[in-house]
Amino acid sequence: MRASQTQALRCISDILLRVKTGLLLGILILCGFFAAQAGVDAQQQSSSQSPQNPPAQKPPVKNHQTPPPKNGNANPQQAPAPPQSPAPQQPPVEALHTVVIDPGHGGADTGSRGSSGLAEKDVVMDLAREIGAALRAAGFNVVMTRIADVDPSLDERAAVANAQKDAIFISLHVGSAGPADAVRTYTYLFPSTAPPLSSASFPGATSTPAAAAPANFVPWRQAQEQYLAQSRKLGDLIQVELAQKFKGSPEISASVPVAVLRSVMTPAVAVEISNISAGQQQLEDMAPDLAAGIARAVTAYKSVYPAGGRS
Amino acid sequence: MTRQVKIIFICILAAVIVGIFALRALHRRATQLQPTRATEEEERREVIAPPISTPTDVSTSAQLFWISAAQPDQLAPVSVQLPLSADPAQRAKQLITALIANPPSPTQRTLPAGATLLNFYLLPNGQTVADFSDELSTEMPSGILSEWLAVSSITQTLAANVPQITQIKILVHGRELDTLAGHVDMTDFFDVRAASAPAVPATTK
Repeated sequence: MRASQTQALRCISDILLRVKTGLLLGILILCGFFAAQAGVDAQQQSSSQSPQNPPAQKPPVKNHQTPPPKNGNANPQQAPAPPQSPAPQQPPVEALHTVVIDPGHGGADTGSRGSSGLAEKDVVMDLAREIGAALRAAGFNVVMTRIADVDPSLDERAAVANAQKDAIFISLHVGSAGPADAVRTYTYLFPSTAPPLSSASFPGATSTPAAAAPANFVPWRQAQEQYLAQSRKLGDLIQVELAQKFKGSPEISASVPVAVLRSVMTPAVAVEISNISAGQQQLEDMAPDLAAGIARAVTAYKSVYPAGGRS
Repeated sequence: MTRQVKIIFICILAAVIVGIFALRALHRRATQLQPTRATEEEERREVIAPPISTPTDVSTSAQLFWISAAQPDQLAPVSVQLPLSADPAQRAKQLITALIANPPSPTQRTLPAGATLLNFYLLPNGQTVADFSDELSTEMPSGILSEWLAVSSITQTLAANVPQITQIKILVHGRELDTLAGHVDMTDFFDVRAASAPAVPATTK
């Protein structure tokens, strides 16, 4: 009898010991989870605004002509940045903060192709990484419209830029025209094509005052219109920098209806390198100069960048 | 060497000689077939896009814009003697067809060789609609510059030769394209009157 009681007590004590160990382990795991969560929150607060949280200050864009997203890869890609020490708290300043880099094409859309099979989508991805690194070194937050081999639609690329506050947009391309024996660069901005925004130009509107567009209404297809002056300044600064390095390039930017720029609500330009037939080595060799030139131009542009990007 | 072996040897020798002559004749026929194929290609093109001739055709020195031989990122006018109609729509069709068919050299080409102008419409207000075959888009070299040079070669050629035209809308098989080959926006009319400016700014030396 006594032996069986001793055995029962030992069994209960063993169970209690295991429960105690389990509880301790559980508490430890919970502590670890909360500590990790706190770290992530702190990192998110210190980093720039996420595209999923568009700034409230931006006027709403009415996208009455935009097709639904082509695929699920439209999420803006925050370019991986090296860890930074927390900056001292400063009063909020309206200034250029973010550069959205758009490596053209991707996925099934290879873009232009060189004689050796070199694809534009791969070249611009490498160039975008190099330019992104140069811009981060100059103190800018960098957002990429794609970081993998996917093909967001033109509207999805514009939407990434439109979700940023105090940003500019640079689309990168490698063309198949122009001389193949030398690398040249061309910077383009969207031309002014839209009629002035008025009640008469508002789709479906009549001449009655009730049909007038809201003050902050921006049709999707005319979103770039109010940023053209700033796009011109940005484009000229970039092209002046690049023309010094890449002889034969124009000294100013040109107005060409590049489709990806149409609906971007920030100063926006497209930079095209000519051309893909120059070959991988020549295009790789020019990447550092291209990145440094664009970083210098964007830094110079920062001093003339007005609040919100409109002048 | 027996008599039978000799006969066999002579037969083989004869076969080889006949074979050599047959091969030469075959080679000659193959060489003759080459220009015939080219002619068929030309005939096919003529069926798809027959030469446009109208009763009012007059041989005229027209200014057509192709890629400059000296500067491959610019357009340059080339004077071409063409039979051009007095009717603005027909005249525009003749010019665009010549723009596709007769570039001074392959490197100066702005529009794909396989592209065909299917229809051309002129509205009373000077707006025009040009409807091309699929090749305009599918065979277009991808790039902002190449696509813009293609559009500008059309607008600048029309501006130089058909003053009645103010704007042009480019369609492919009756459909509006988002972009020509991935870059240039094709959803608007292109201004023809303002096309006298260079396609892109002049380059540095």
